Amino acid sequence: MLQPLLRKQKVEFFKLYIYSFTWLIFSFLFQAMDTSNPAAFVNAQLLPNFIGKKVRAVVQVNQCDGGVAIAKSIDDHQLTIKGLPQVPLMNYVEVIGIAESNNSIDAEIWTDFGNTFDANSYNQLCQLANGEFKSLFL
Amino acid sequence: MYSSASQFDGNAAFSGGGFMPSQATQGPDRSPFPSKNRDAQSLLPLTVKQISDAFQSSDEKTNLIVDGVDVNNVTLVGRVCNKAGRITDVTFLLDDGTGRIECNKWLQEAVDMNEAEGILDGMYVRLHGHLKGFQGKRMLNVFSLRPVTDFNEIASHFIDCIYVHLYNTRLRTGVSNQQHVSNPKPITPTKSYHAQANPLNQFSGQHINGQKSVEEMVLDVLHLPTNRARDEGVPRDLIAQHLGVSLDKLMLAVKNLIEEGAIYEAIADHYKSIING
Repeated sequence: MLQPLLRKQKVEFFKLYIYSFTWLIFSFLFQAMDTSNPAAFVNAQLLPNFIGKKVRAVVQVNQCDGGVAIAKSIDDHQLTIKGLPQVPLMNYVEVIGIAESNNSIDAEIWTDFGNTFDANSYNQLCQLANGEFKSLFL
Repeated sequence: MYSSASQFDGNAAFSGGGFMPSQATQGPDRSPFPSKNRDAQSLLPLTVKQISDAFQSSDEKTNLIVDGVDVNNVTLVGRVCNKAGRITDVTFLLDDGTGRIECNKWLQEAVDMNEAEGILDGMYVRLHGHLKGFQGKRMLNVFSLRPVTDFNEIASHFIDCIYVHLYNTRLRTGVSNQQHVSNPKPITPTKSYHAQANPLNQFSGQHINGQKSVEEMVLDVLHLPTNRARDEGVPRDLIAQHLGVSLDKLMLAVKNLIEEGAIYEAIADHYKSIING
């Protein structure tokens, strides 16, 4: 009575195992290259085009308290960055996150770019990456 | 360039032995790819998006082609994610902001291991690797991996990508016409020649109304058939006499041309163009 039930359960388990394994293989295959969620290069001027989407921006943090930072974008506009920990003030910091509004970003990742960063070149790159050469980036 | 292949035919000597490419694809002339020169093997700075786009538009059998160039070795800059280290190799995803690509680095020596251990999730890295297809997916076989310390390298890399894209799509189409001239003689090294052609154009730009610069006139003189034949080069007095310019003016132009690598001093005060053949 108990024996066939157990065997059936075993088969079910085995099936589940096979399914999960195939799924794993498939997800791995499609993971090999994924361009579905790019982070666009933005300055403050370009930010409004990406509301609700992932962006990357380089900013200089002026003040930071309670997870909300007031920062200057590379094209000299004021931005609000949320979810930023205490970062070195006035250093160039790259934030990657979701554009919330015309002047705020909800940061997920940040990297300190130091204070020898060439903001002008980066700003020009932002413009190229959203203009003539957009096809290379987005 | 590939003449050694015809001098020693491995297929004939060893009947292939399983290692040589089959007869159909062997030999530089019969290669299915139009250009197997060094241009085709260059290191391309690319974005993941470019690789992904090229992958989607090509069938899996052939090489990946971006902007008309065969892609073999690539250099990328991005953040490391999902790093998984094993004893023999390390795998991770590289996220350059345009997409993610799976990377794999084999650890052969202790140096490799130290190098790989220093790379952590979230770090920006510059990597050089070989793009290959494996079981229907593209992955990057990394041979050099180092952390980015000067973050201007990120902007620099992407500007590089844009430049190379521009070069291969627009500038190259002009160059390729000359490259595909079916002249069996080893003519001028096209690549370096064009590299020099630009600075020379700059010289001409300095002169108003399309008047030729002294540099260009000197080159014209050196390219005259009688002067080409001189193995020892053309004496500077003769050039000056020919052009009717002062020796000072001539020497300034000659100095510029030498710095550009367009001409050289064959023997004392005798000059020769590098493209004399």
